[in-house]
Amino acid sequence: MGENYKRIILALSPSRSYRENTLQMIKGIQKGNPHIILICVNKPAAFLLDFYQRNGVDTRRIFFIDAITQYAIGSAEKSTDTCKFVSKPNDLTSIGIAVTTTLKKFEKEKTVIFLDSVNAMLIHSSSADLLKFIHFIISKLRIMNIAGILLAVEKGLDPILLSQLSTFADETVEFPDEKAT
Amino acid sequence: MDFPVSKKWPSTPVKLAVLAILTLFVAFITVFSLMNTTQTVFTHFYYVPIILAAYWFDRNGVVYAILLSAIYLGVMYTFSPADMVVIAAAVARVILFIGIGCVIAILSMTISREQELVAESETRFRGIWENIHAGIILVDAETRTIIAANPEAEKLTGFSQKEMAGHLYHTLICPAEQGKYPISDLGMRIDCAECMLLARDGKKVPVLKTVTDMTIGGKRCFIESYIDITPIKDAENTLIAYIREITLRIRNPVELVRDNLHEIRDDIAGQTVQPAHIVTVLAIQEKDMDGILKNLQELERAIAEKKMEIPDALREYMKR
Repeated sequence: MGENYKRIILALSPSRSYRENTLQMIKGIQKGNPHIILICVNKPAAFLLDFYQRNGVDTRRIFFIDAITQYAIGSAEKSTDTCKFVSKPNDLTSIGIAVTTTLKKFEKEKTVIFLDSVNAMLIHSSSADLLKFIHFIISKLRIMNIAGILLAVEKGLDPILLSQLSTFADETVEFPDEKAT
Repeated sequence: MDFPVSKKWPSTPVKLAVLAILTLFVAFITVFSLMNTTQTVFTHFYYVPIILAAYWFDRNGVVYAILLSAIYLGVMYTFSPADMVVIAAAVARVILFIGIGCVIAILSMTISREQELVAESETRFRGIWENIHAGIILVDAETRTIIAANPEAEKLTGFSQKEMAGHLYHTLICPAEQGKYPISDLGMRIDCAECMLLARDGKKVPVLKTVTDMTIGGKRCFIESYIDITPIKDAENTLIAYIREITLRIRNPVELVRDNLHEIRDDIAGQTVQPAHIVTVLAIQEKDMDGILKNLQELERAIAEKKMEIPDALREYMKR
């Protein structure tokens, strides 16, 4: 991540190597020793925590904003020191508030925001709402001089939305489809 | 050699006055000639008022010819009552006068009827030209300059007819390059082709264009007609945007759920993940499928409401 710190990156990964690529990115980011705020909409925080721990990621420096667990299991999870739960993935206002409060919490520390994933958010929100939300988050990151990574499945977004997201980001990174070759 | 012809005849009182003067003149010249024993030349002066009366007043003109003939016959009989040769010649002239009056009256009535038909036709076609809900532009086939444009064409392009007339069609309102005029240069036939019209403000107006070839006054012209399809295009674009959005929110999420289930299968097979986590991840996939189903219902509703065909470009994208 080093040189990319304080930049906004749109990361596009093939769907088959999505989990591995996410893991590699998290590991890469951790080399700079920042706090990672991971907004999870695709997989629950507990699952990711377990997965990262098993794969050698230092999870002490990861804070989860989980927008899917409460919605999926139907019961209210209590927020912890490492995780904040949001009731529904389409409640973008609550996710925005959670991001703002978490950023304040790590105000004096090096922080990176990681959104997993744009595709999953599109199940529950319209592209217009999603773009507004991403614009809000990115504006906040730029004001606070914080880096951010928007993760999306390659070929999972249509060209128009992709071009709109690319205009928000400083750089678009595409992971190679190794399994296909 | 051209003669100046008055397009407008004088009013009825003036015509009557002219006829009255000519009648007095003819009567005077008749009496004068007969008093001087001249019986031939003066009769030619009768033709002028008879022709004018028949032309101006049709049937009443014939009545005038009869009256004038009666006067002539009366005067001839007064001056030469016993000369049967003179009387017979006068009767023959009278028949000629009335005959000329009848022929001219019939011709005049025919011309009037033709003029009425032409005027009626012009009114009808002017009404169509001015009120038709399609822009029509007349283009000179040889020079490619605009000859005329109807009000709808003015509305579509934003140019007035005066501004368009005489200008090259390509430089003003057609985005096609010069020398690539479809109907003449490229030998194409244009019938309800979808194309763009350049407006004054630089905007491109989507239109259905039809071009027909015809000859007006010996000059080959193209009649270009345009129907504004902006509302249809807007509706189509709205539908495309809507379907694009729904595609984003159905096809792609299904792929995401498929990949997630694939990962869960691997996790279960590898026995690396706690069962509680597997349950939660599966519950998420179930909720995701609920969301996808909801999006699909929205698409069904949109299709039912719009009832428009999915454009080919979008169909291609959806086949990806």
